[in-house]
Amino acid sequence: MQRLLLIICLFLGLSAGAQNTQLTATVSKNKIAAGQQFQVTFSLNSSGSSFRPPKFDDFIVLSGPNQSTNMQFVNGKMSSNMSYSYVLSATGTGKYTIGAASIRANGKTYESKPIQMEVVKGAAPRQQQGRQQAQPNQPQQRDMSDDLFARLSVNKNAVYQGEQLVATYKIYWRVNIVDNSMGDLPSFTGFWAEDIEIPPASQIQTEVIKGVRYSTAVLKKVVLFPQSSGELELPSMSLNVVVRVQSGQRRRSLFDQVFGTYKDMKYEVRSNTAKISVKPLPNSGRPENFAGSVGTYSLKANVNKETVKANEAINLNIVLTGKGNLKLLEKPNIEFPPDFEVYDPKIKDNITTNANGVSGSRTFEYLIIPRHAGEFQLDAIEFPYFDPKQKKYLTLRSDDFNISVTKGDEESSSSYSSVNKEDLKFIGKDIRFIKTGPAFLSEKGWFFFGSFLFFVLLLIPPAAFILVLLLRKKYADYSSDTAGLKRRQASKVATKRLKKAESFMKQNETNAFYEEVFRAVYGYLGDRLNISASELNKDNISEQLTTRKVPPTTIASLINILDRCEMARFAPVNDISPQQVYNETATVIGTIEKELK
Amino acid sequence: MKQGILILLFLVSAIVGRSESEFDHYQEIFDRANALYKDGQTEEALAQYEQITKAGYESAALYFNMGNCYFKQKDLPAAILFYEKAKKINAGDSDLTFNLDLANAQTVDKIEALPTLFLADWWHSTVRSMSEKTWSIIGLTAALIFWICLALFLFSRSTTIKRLTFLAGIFLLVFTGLTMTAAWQQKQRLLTQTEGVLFAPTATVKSEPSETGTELFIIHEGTKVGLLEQEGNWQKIVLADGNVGWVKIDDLAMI
Repeated sequence: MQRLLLIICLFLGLSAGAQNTQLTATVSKNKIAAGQQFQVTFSLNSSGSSFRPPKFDDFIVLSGPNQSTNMQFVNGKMSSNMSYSYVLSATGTGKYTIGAASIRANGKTYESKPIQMEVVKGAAPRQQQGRQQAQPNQPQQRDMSDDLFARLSVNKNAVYQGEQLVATYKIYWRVNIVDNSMGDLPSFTGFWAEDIEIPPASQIQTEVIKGVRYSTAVLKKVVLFPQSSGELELPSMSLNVVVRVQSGQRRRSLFDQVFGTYKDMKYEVRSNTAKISVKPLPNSGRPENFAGSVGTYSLKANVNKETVKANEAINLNIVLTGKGNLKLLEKPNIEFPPDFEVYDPKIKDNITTNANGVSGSRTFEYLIIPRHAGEFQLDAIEFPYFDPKQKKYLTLRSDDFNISVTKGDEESSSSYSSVNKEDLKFIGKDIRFIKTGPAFLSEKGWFFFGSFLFFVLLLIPPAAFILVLLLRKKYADYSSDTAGLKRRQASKVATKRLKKAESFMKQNETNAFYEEVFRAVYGYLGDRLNISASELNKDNISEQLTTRKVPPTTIASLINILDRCEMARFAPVNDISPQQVYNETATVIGTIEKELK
Repeated sequence: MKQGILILLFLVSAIVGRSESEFDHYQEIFDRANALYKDGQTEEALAQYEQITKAGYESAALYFNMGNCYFKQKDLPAAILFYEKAKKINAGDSDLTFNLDLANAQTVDKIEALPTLFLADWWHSTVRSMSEKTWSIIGLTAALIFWICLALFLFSRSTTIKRLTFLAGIFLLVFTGLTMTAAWQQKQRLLTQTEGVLFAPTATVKSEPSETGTELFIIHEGTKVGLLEQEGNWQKIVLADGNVGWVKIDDLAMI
């Protein structure tokens, strides 16, 4: 394997060395009039031998071969140059070919490319020029398009929207340019343009086109990114040049003969335009988060730590490397946990624009500060893009990041939590002391409200109220019955009166005694039989007592007592002592009381 | 009559259940824990307090002291949880209000409460200012006085007393009704868990009860939330400012 590699390297080195040596054939003009002279030069940028010119069958060799050799030492390196030139003229008109010449150099044979010549009829352009009175600083009518022109070339004619292409404006000349100034600068509408800087050292080069050697210089080299689809036109570019040409006038003086006569003429060199067909990006398979990136990319993302304390910063670096319009890359759309404080990413570019287009890398540096503890996940970072080579959408995906945030230091977190005006009163204050003394414990889930005890206590007052109400009603009934009361108290009242009578008797106040006995009996009977005082008389009493089945003897003795009392009030009673009356009254009342029960 | 009183006493003691000595035992533990707290041994004190709660007892003072222990240990969400538990039993304690405000001032989220109807606000704060037991006792006392007034109104012959007791009776009837309602509401509040405290350091509130739901907003530990319905492992919550969303149940502790 290694040997194979070595061989390949050697071969590449050889071929690279061989590239340096070449035999180029150039003509002074490839469009001539019949009979006009022109020069053919075969030049070798090395030293060679055994030069074999082609056969000039269709031309007349006027002079040659004129050989010249050139040797140079630059920085100790030798370079040599050989050239063989012929002056020819054509006889007939038509298209002819100058064949290939060959030469041996470095042990190899090199061949030049054949050159197409076109011979036309008519006078030589040079003679025409001679007749013209051309003024300097006046644009020349003379056709210089063969000797001085500008070209626009693109590396691609058909691209996708957003795909880069390189456009190059070049000027070709084989005349003596004295001065130049920029004319119209192209404006690339519909494109994002990125100029490629041209190193000044490599400004002027030589190039052979159709056998004619030209000096060339790059006027402008630009990387273009089409921003819209369709047929887009790259505009032309122009350059104003002043060309010094040999005057066609006859030499009038010796001075003229020695130095020649010349004229300065102003030309506008304008390049061609170019059409670019821009294809729109396909709709099928377009990722949802596609932001319009076209090219080839690779993605790298990493965080500097996955375990942090709250309020500590994390760096998230996302590097996108590739070819494409890196300068238009937007920051990737990342869903950060809402509790993360995320600052706008710092963008670092390492982008080069050269003949191959725009390439390099763009780095997004995120600074993330998690404000609170917890386990967080940063979802994979996705970058979708369109690859014009594979003609499809691709998505780059990084790994998921799991970030665990532990509790930060107290100080830093308190510095974050904003203390508003209302909270200011609590700064520097401590909580109040615990409750000591009775804990007033109660069983969990036990409630006084709705408990049995509660209902008992709730119902005691109304129950007591109802009880009072009932008792009161009973009392009211009892006290409202006056007749019954009198009846019940009749014997008591009678006994009281009799006692009073007894005391009168002992004091020998007989009148008062009888009075009292009379009252006692009447009062007793009135109360007992429920007879009002006005209706109370002996007849009424006896009648009532009879109906109540009191024995007639008792009624008779009662009437007797009442009679005696009435009599005693008016006249002294001698047949019976007060003591006897008293005893009799007590007996009668007792008997009636018994009978009426 | 005497026999009836004895039976009643027996019934009451059977309902209250625990014997006096058991209360004394836990009161002793409570006092011991308080002494530990005084010495700055909050962790040991907390273990003692937890003995009481594990035995199935609670009180506003107990929860208040536990809240203080957690606060001293800088466990803010737990402190707020226990202060809120104490507040649920008895909101009328000024020490409690002070400590809870102090704890809330240290939480991250500052949520502006929605303005409520003045009358409703007044009623709720009044109801919460006293425990269910206090309200019940006030209600029972009012009821007792009502019956006395009724009796006086019916039995008294003096028109002045009749007029006075009539007015007092109407007032007391309304007052009894209100206090009983307050007691009932307090009991219902204790029976149902309508509020919770966020324990997770941060929680993302989602628009629906699944991981794929849109992230609405973020709340941080110690934030008090109102509880709405449940759905699997998810709890629908409402913040004081009226915002509604879903969080995982595990992130919450119920008050």
